[in-house]
Amino acid sequence: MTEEISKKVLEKIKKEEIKPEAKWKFLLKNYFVWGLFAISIIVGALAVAVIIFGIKISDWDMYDRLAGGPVKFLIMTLSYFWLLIFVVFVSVAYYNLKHTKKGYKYNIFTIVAVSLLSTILLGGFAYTVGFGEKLENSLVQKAPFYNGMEHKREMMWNQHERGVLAGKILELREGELDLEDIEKIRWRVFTGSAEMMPTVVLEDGKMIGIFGKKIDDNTFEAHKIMPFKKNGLKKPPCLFEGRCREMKEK
Amino acid sequence: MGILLDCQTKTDGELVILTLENSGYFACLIERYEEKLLRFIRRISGVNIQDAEDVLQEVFIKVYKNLNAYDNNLKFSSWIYRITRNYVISEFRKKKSRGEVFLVDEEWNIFVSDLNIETELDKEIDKEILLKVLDKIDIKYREVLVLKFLEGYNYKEISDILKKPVGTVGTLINRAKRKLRQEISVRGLIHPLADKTKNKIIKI
Repeated sequence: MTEEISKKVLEKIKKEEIKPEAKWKFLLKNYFVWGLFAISIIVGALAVAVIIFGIKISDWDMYDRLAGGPVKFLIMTLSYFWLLIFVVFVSVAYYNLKHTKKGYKYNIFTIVAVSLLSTILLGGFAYTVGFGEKLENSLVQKAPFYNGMEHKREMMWNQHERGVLAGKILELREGELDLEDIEKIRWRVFTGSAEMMPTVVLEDGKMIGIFGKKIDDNTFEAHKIMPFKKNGLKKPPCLFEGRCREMKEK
Repeated sequence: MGILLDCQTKTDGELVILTLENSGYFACLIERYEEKLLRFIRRISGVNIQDAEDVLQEVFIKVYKNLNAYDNNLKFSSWIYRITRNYVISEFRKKKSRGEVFLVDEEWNIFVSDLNIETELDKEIDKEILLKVLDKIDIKYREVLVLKFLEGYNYKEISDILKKPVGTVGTLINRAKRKLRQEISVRGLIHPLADKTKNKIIKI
């Protein structure tokens, strides 16, 4: 039987000119899997860096007023776009690590932990060296689909029903001012009984944040007024309105 | 044949290297694993001897094509069993049919004693019925039982063959034993030749 099978196999090898696959093909496949793992970790880490940046620029000192609690504030602050990128690439990293030559030896928890931890640690490092901010800023400026973390932050200050409003002062009058909010809506704001934060400057064109009470669709009563700083880059208007060329020419 | 005489003192790893230089040496590896793999194929697939031989030929061709993928850190036997098992499973999925598990008597006794299967009245078990039961359980459980109790592989080797963590292999073996016991107890296996008043019930 041995001779018969070995004879048949060897004959087939000879007749069909079967050759062992080249070693480089197997090596390439192996490197490809590791390469994909590395790329997934890097992309996932960049997502972590931007998420940390987004959390960092958020107004944590006002979480109670803006969201009602730290957990809710965190949920509102998190960028689901980057969270999705993080989850997708950690999953890709997990898949690739599992499919390395020795990946099968490790249980699911070890592989998930290694993928997660390496992504988060590298992400922390990327944030520390400023990659989070750089990526965020360059996407805000160059990617039409990307609104950015600052936009998310601004939208938190645009909760009129919660008594939160922010925008640019258009006109100052005795006991009131006109303000243009994030969505370019003009508001009449009564400031007579409002508490002013020491650092706030009420001047035309200055950005302020207000805690108070909405009276009607265009009227607001301020209880507390504070400066509204930009913590991140905001998308240039030309990206929305197609005016980049005109602006550059000017 | 000259080569066959040459290969007795060579390790599997050495034979792989020699085969890559001269395909004739592949006969040595075939000789070394033919019987074991043929048995293994029949045990996990239940196909008849002719079909098993056809499968085996294809397996050896596959092994030959992939010789450069063999990593010395792994036991060659684990590697070749892995290829065989994967090929059988893929063929099994394609055809979706199988026969019965194949065992020879002496292996049967080892299998039964390793599984701690004992009859209530004596140590005899109706092999035919139990083989049918073994055949009824899912292939993922059957293959671990075969590898552990019939092929005699340890957990680490089974882990390398199935490409599963050692812990998972342990869990699979325990579940497979439980499944087999359940199947036997559900069927209340009774020896067909036993006296009806003195039923031999397999107790596990």
